Amino acid sequence: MGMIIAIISGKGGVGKTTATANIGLGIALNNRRCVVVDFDIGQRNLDMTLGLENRVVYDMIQVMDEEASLRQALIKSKISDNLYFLAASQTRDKTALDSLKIKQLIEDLSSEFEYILLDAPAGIESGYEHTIEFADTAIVVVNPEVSSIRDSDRAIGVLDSKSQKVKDGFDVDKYLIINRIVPEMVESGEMLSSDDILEILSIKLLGKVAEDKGVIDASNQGVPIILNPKSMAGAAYRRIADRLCGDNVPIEEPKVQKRGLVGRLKGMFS
Amino acid sequence: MKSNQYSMKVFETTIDDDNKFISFMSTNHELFKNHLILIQGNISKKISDYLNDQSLKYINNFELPRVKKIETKYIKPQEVKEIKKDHFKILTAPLRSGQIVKYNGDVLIFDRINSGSKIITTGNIIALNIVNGDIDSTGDFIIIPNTNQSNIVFHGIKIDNGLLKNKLNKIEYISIDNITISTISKKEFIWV
Repeated sequence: MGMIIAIISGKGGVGKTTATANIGLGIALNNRRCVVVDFDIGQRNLDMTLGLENRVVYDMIQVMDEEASLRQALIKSKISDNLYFLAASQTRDKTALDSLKIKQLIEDLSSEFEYILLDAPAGIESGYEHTIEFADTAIVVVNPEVSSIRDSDRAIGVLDSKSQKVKDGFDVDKYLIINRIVPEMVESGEMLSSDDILEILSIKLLGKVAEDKGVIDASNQGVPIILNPKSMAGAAYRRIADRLCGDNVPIEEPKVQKRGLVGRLKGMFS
Repeated sequence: MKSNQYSMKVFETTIDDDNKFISFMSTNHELFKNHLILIQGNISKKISDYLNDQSLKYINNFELPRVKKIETKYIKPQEVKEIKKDHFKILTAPLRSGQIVKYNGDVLIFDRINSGSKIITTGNIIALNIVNGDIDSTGDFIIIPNTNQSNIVFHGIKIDNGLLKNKLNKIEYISIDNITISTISKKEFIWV
């Protein structure tokens, strides 16, 4: 049985899809079989982040409606043989989802893969509820700002009341990724510190990811940032993937990057 | 001549609000089905239709030969909107944004009350952790730490957050125009 992980945030634009792509690839690079499923029906993005845009033929709605087999719809990543991708439908909307069919799909996937990552849509509506329904773990992606934290808090509340695992009397494991931390702003007190966020959301910390401009270019190119050895965000995602694979990697605090002489000169003239 | 003598129970009432009367009668139907209902004052068609429907015997505007009034403790009809206090509720998990706790009774909260959540009670509230959500109570008191974000309404009166200066404050109801705020503790609690 695979581990079913929903990646949620409540608010949009905090980096759910980026996190899903990078964690999925990171797990695959650890030699574990992993599948990432885009649950954002109608607003498919994960294919672009993974650079598999032109490979999508069948989507998950077609699999659920038995218009295509799972084998036909699963797309193997160009980067790792262990990473597969199941696309969301771009032409349908969230009403196309159905609990029974999702359950069947997730059961089929978990018999083949060790890790199943579900990229949830923003918001807390039906699309989100269907994503978390059969998940046994949730990764909450949050930005260090109040609106994102409140929306995540709400999303956790919905998770704790709507998930099937909770209805069966168990707890859903919840982990927090604090994304887009600007260490300079935390240091000067303009940005909420990680401790404050953890205190508010009261769930376990999985990782801290610093703001990295390279993420945008990486998404545009379809090459996840985790492959960039120089990127701090990439390193953070690698550590998160290692933790999910069971390695005991200590949490690293994003540090203020000290610029050398050349960097400082560049900063003066830019 | 053949005669019989009966004593009978009479329920005497006046009607201000038709709907209230009907809901009162329907909740207490069992109690009054063998009573004679005496209504003082005019009655509307709605009421008479209702009483006929329920086959309740009634008379209107009638002066009874008052012999003996039955003690009120004998007939103890249920109040329609009686607020029933449950007991006491303890919340140990954090209250998350969007969650509402409605409770008839006292609530004790150990964990955080996050921004966007709400507690509504008819009893007292004791909050021991950080409070950022909204609170609405009609009990005797609220015990709450200092808070800037929370919207506290006590007996329909919005409490000014600037008055809650200390680590733990008590908002107490004395009368409708006398609500006091006192200090319980100026220091942070240390739980052992």
